[in-house]
Amino acid sequence: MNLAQLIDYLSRDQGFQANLTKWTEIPARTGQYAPFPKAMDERLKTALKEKGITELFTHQATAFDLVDQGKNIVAVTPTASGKTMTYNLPVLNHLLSNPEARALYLFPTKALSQDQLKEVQDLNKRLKLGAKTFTFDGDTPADIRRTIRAAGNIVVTNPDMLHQGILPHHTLWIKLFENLKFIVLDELHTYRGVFGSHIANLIIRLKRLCAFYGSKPQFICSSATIHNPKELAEKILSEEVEVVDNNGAPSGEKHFLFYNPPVVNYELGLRRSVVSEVKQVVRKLLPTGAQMIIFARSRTRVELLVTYLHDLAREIKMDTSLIRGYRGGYLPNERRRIENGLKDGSIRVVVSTNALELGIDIGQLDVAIMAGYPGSIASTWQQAGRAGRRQSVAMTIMVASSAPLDQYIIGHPDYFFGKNPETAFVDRENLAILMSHLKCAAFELPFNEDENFVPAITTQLLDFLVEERVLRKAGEKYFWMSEIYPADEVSLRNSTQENIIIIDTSNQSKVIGELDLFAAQEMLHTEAIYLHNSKQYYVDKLEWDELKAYVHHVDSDHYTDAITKVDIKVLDIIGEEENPAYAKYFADVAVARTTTGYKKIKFRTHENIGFGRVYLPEIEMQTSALLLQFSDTFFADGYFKESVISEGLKGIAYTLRNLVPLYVMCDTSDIAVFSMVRDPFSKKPTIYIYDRYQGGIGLSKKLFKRDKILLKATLDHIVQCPCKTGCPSCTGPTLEATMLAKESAVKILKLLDMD
Amino acid sequence: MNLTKKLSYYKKTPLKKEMDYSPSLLALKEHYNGEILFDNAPILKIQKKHPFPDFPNGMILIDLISKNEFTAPIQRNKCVFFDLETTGLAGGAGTFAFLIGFAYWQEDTLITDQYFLPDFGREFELFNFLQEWLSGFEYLVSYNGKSYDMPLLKTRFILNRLVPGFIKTKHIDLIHMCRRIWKESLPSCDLKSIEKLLLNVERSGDIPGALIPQAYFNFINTGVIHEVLRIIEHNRQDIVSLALFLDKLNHVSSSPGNLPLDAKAVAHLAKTAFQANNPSYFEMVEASSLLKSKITTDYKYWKSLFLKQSGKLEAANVIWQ
Repeated sequence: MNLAQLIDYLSRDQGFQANLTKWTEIPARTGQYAPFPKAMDERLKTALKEKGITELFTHQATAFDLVDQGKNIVAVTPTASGKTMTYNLPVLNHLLSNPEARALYLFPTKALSQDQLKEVQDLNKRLKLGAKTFTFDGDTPADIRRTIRAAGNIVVTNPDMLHQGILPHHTLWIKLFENLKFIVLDELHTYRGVFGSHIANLIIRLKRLCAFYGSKPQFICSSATIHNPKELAEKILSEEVEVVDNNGAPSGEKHFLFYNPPVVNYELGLRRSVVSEVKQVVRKLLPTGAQMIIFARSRTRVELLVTYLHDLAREIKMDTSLIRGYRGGYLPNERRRIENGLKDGSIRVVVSTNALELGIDIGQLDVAIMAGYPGSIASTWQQAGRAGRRQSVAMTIMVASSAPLDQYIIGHPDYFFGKNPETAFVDRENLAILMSHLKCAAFELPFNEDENFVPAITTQLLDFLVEERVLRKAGEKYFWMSEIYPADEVSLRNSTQENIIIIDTSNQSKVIGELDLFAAQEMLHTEAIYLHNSKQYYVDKLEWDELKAYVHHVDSDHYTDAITKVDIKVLDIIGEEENPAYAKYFADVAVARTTTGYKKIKFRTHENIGFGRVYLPEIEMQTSALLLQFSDTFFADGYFKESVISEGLKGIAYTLRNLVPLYVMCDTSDIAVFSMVRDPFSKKPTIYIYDRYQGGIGLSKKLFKRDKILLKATLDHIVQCPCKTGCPSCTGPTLEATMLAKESAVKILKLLDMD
Repeated sequence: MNLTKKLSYYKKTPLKKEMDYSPSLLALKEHYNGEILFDNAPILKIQKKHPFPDFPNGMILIDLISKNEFTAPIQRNKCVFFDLETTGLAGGAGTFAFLIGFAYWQEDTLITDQYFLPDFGREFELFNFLQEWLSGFEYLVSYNGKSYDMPLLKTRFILNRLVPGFIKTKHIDLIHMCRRIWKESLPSCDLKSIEKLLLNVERSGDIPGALIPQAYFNFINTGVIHEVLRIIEHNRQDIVSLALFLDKLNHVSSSPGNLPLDAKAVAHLAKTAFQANNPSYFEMVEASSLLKSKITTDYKYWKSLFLKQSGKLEAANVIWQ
């Protein structure tokens, strides 16, 4: 049975069909071509013809022309559309007539940057250009580094290396900076949130040094499909950018299936586990001989799936070595072997984290399966893009988990297949991040009095650093005055947040996971019942200072619900808007939270069967928030007793938090939402949505303008959920007493009248 | 008034009065009887003459110990010895050299010129001057300057938009030579240990290198000169020692018996002699009763390799009989 036959078979398989919420067929599309641009060097045309390329895809030609006109571009194209040519062609074309020119390629990860040189090197050889291309990262040997600095025409690196290894030592890179013509930023959509904020600052540092050496490079970026590629690129580059999105690459027929595992426990809203469902799906697919990639959301999931699939392989007498895992933590050589195995077909199934989502070259496969929604539409399309050869049919299956976000997507396929509403956001003004880069920049080159590192406030910040005695103002310049090497003090990847490690003492003290401090207080306090992979664990001890929680496996008849005291103080209102139903504020806030105790709640009956105290330190942060404050008249209906309002708002808050990533690209852990039936200052019912990052990171700022669309999605989702009184997939686990969360939440949201 | 006259008035910018300088800079000038250079970005030059009658002028030969990097005899008065004091040890563009010390010989007198920068942003005119001044020397001599001081100075020149022409000057870095000899004899081949060994100098009240950056920042913030005095002394001692080292190392090729060599050092030099293919070292060791007593198996090993390399297989064999 081949894949086409299988698709036919599945379409008649009632049992399988019952779990599908959507089966979309994306028809094949033919390529759209454009002749070689006029400005293209004849030698390059000849070299391309030798490779069998006689014309370009439309988007490649557009990119080439725009770059030729001196424009910055961001090319928005799907996986496997010849993206690398959009930047390699203009770069090589320029090198043909300017052999001293330099280009800097930045890839978001080290693994990616290793892989990108092949195509350039091939063309380079055909052109007899002698352009030197190098990867420069932490693994580059010292003696080669010298050559790269002096002679590398194309230097491929990653942001971390640029930040710590290149910019602070720019005087060793004179040749690069003096002749820098192009900066290539691949996978631009990954530069969002905290990471994006760092990158935007890093780019300003880079541009500042280029200006010192008299160069003004052009930017060529690429991004997955998101709602606002232009806005994101302009925010990161602080320059005007043109979007290239006239994709001309052909693609074969594709089937996209949404698979929702059946509900096994309505009360808890539990569905059959993703892992075992994926195993069932793979069982159906294996006999077709289709080559597949399965994306899992965590490294442990990868291993678990590989184990299951090896069992399956043994059942059907298949060689287990045809099924491999792939994730961070594997050695580079082993990864290369797997990548090659996928290309030459000797590996048939690979289970991977999102490590294989980005541009690592593994060729095109037949089937992509996602074990759980990848977290964003952009990621989903990128993962789906791994399946699909130009000539034959391909299939993508997304298997949803019980998580609210998964359930929303699986229940709203139109939302998914419509125009992607996900906005990537970057906030250049997070003070902590901005300050660390300002210091790095001052280390790299003294600041002039009139320099503009960040609009409007540069001088103020520099003067502050003078007061702090980190900088010294002498004459009209600010000089670095510290022994510290500032780039070492800041990592581009990690937020300041620390994590608590969870150690299972009933299983050889294995680490089973980690949680950030906020979540840990509520879920991992001493004596809590902690649920992990649908298993129950009892927390023996939370060692707060050592960042460890010791747990052991139990079968308990109850679970615990933490009592957390949250104090939120509005420091400053930055923006506000009055609606009939609620007033909307964007504000700087100080949040302090402590878990002070917990309730023991019996499963099924939801009886409160006990109570305990917890002693943990208060966690504080200053951040930005969106406040929705309901008017006094809003809850006029007699139905809305205070406890009912409280339940309803809690339910809304729970859903909101989980649905935020639909509109603003982030993880649910980047954001916190909570409600108060009586805000201590206004005495009004209030919902707070705040950035869980010191200083704020621009999330709630973005949401300020998107409140209605978000609340509407919230209502849709809660109404559509098959549970009766609320479940973890919508308004949250049902608690004791009223059981009114879902009902009340729906009533409130309907009253808001969002049309 | 004609234009020429106007221009001559125009050219005569009013002289800076000493009042305009910071009190701390003036205090330092007083203390050292130094000279303030460059009115627009004043810095302090401290010159001192050190007579060393025991170190008469002459040629220096470091062919063996430089492993033939420098085969020709070196004219001592063509050497300039240098050392920087900086605001950090990590390197990178934000590290600033606030004290640049040079030493050079005039006959048997060693002259030290130290340039102290009392604040940031005062490098340009000094560097312009040094660029020219340094071209009068044939050799730069440093202790670990190849990996530290030189790249740092080069960076500072680039940041001032000056081309660091002096990087093409021949550079003798004594740390490598000292390591070649005393690597195993001393716990560390830092300047202080070598100084104690070769010159019998024990510094008292010397400021530890690690405290220097903060000491300079304190000076900038408070104007108190006490710690700066210690840094200037420290730097001067460094460059003086450096100059004397080179003279001492001259003995390697002519009279190794005059050097404080233990058995390990004698063997290490044998290895160097083998690598440099230099026969005279072995002859000198065996001619000196003092050194002969320090011959070890390691020494014999290197000698035999040397003989083998020269084709004297029989002689090499005899060593092991």
